[in-house]
Amino acid sequence: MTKDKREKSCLHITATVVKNTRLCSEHYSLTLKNDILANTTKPGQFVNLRIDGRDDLLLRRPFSVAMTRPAQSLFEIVYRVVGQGTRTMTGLSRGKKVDLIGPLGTGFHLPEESTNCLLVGGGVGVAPLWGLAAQLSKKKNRIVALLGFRSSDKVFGEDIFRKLRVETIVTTDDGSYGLKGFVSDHLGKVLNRPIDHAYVCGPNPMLKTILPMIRKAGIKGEVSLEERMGCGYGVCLSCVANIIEDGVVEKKRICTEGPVFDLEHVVLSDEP
Amino acid sequence: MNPDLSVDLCGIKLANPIVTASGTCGYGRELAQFYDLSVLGAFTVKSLTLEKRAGNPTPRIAECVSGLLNSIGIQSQGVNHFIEDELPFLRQQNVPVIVSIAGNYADDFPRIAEILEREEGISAIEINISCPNIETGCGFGTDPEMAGRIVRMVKAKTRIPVIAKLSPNVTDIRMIAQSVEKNGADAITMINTLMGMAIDIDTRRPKLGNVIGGLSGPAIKPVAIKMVWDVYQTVRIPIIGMGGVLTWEDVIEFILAGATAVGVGTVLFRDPWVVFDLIDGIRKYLTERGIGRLDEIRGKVVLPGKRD
Repeated sequence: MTKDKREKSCLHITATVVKNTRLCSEHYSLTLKNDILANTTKPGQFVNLRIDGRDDLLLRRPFSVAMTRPAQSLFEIVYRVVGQGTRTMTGLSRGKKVDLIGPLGTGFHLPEESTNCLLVGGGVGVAPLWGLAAQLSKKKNRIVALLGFRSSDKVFGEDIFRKLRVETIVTTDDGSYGLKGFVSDHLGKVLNRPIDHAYVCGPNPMLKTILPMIRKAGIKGEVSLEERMGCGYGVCLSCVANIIEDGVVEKKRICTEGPVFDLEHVVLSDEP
Repeated sequence: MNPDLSVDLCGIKLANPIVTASGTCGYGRELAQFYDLSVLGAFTVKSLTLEKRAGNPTPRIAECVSGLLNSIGIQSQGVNHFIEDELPFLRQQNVPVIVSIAGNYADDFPRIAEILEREEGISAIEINISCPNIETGCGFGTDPEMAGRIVRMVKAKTRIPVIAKLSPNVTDIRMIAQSVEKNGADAITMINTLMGMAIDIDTRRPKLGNVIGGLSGPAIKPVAIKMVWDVYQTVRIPIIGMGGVLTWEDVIEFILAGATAVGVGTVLFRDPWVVFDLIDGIRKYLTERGIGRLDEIRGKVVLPGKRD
């Protein structure tokens, strides 16, 4: 009897590992096969992955979908090895099954007609901009991407943007690759060009400096936010952000109302 | 043979003993996108407060070894929002609804109960006198006299059955249980989270924005089992036992310790569908042992020197 009711379980996905490769010193790319996810996930949406065989890890791990290849039923996530969950993931080999909930959250909105787009990514936040760049370039948008990493050994994804004929500027904090400094040090120059839409994803300290710059330049856009997440589907209220709605600041769930928000609406704590 | 899993919780008929724990499944809409809520014994909503509450700063959650530390701080839209926007949906789900309430002041509890009393479709009111994440939360539930007083005030305002949710952060939980029973509580939910703290050694900052929080998950299950067993021997009112349930074996353990129904919470974050495995597992356990009704094993832990 209970079995029949379980059938309603949409969003509960089993995907098969196709490839799990190291991109740089701390980032890995995991390519997975599942027809539904590959065909329905929009850039900016995420999946919540269960760490198989680790009953002691009580939470799934959320990852934005970096790229989809619907024709081959493939999609790709990029993960940074930071703890026990992601360390366990490095052992996922071809053919293994992974248990996912997804696609979750809102995605980026593409401009209705072709425009000049700016993508700004920091660290693992570069990943969700891959799929976005692919969609934007298909729609004939002109794209410049500004990608920031801590050092040369942590740079990834540059080739993908270049392949999409995106003008790609890479910065490293220590200058060991590309331009030296934070993305914020080089953003000003880029903002002098004609830009219509900005899409941003990266750590909160980066957002705190660059969101005011983009707003001041009068550019509309969206930002994908990150916060420590519990359930990923809206019940635990862990991953909230301050979002202005009708002039009032409200706590919104990043997993459900986000992770992508209008950058005009985001209020970061102690923002200058 | 199809064993009878139904339980009578202070007059409320539950199809099975599985109850969602307050604060782990919102007001039901999110779980309902995965399955019919009618598979549950009962659904407990996130604690309602009189007025809107913003909750605590982020990060609000930190994973520990086999446990989860949280400090959400009862982010709530308030009781009136619940009645207008959430309760009509829950009424249609064909599942008993337990409404959890919380307050900044003792007087908030009867005021919320008075508002809920006018509404149809509420099977029980659970009074959360044990939330560790709001200033006064634990204070209400750690003092037997205060806990009893709040139960009495709520009972005076409503005919809906009243369940007291107890805190484990006390010296002797039996004293609190006795006090709420004496003051008219119809049932007890236990346990709420254990107070805890975790520190990031790189940044030297607490892992929670609120510094301290409440620990849930399998790490606390033995504490919960022991406390349910203590209280089962002390009071006559039924107990909704909870704390760290992951599997159907855990559910059986709580029933053997004396729980009438069993709550699931933290596990839903990882596996919202786990309730099907729990129900199937209990049924199989009873079937294999030729036990016709779940009621038969309640409190039937076999102690040393006793015969089963």
